[in-house]
Amino acid sequence: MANILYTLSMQRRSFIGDLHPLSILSAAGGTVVIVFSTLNTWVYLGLLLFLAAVMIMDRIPLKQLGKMVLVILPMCFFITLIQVLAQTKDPFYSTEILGKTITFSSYGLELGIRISARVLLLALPLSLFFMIVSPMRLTRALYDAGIPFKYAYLFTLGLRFLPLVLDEITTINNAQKSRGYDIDQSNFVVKMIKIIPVMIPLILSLLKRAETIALAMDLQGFNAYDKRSFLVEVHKRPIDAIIRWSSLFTALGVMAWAIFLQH
Amino acid sequence: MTAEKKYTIPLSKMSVKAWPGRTDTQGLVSSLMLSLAMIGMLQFGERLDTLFFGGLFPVSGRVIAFCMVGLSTALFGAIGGFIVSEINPLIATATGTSPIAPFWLITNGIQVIAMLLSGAITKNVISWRNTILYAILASLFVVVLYIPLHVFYFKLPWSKLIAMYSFQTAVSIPATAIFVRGLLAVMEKSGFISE
Repeated sequence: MANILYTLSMQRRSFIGDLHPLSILSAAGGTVVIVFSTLNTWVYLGLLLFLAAVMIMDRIPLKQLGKMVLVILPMCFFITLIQVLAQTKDPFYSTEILGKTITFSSYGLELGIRISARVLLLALPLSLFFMIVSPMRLTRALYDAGIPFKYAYLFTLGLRFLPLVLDEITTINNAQKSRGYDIDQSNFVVKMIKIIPVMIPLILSLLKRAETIALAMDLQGFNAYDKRSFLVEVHKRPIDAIIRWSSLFTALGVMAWAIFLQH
Repeated sequence: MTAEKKYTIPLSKMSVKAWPGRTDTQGLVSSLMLSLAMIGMLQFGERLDTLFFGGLFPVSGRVIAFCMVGLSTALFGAIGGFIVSEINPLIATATGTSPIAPFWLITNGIQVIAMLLSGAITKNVISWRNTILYAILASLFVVVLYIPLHVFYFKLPWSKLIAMYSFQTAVSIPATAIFVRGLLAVMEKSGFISE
């Protein structure tokens, strides 16, 4: 996934992707604030339409969204289940198990569904942000915002090396399998304990590899000068100001509406 | 009579202060590698957590996070710890691994503070006293932070979830203490610790 994300964001150019990364971040932040402020169905529907429009405009593959929804589904199921069992308002069914009465609340079911929508709407804008914004542009924007380059660059470096680390895990896992230590054959609980013989060689080999990478980076002048030049240029345009201010006002407006009028 | 050797944070260069710790290229890249190792390891842990409670009450993921954040803080100091603790939620958010990943920015960050505190109190990082204290502090801090998440985000009745919090803490304290102590011993034997 990280590999796809990296290639996707590096290659694609679009209207939204060409905006200043911090403007896109403020729009995503505004969406998060709105989602947190209310559980109103119409507001959520509006946000869903807005995010769908962003996805269509930026040509984000629907497959990625499908994968994310699949990850969220088990959590949504458990949230709804806990709400149905824990809430006592409007019971629609009750049964006795081991002498204890268990009630199923229709209010809990409705609340569970609304919170599941909240979970989806909170996960979507932040994931979209990382899909839209190129890591190099993000690094540049963070550097311009005053974050030292050596820290601003770490996220890009992380995305670059993640596939290598995942490959390393597969290699170590295969090496342990060839010695008769197959953790894939174990059940989920035992697997958690049997992870140690994979964890230790992984950490040691990565720390050794880090020495080589750091040396190579130092030799190429990484962090040698305070002020550095960039291949990627990030400019603030009038549209960026409009997006930032409108995100702020919309978020504050919905928050005020939720606090003062909705209740 | 020989004096007991004292190990201080950051273990990879004990002449440097724990705050900010190592900020040279090797320190930063090593911390980044540990954070990627944590992401890789969490693939195993998160499956188990998702299977049981949909990731609402992580247990194995929490133990792995405690181990890796604690290890990196002990090895590279505060900055190294924060790199491991913050890169993982950012990549998890980017890849859509978990809907509560942005919240880990706070819960992982507090584990760095826990290791720095326990290291300062016990004054010897590679010791059972330190790893047990770290496990207790990290578990308590994280449970306290999870309650507002469950109340405001998921609207869950937290008083009915005390049994779950107790279970998480009961598993995470001994497991973290044993694993972190073991990992630190391996680091010492492998020569990653220097004055």
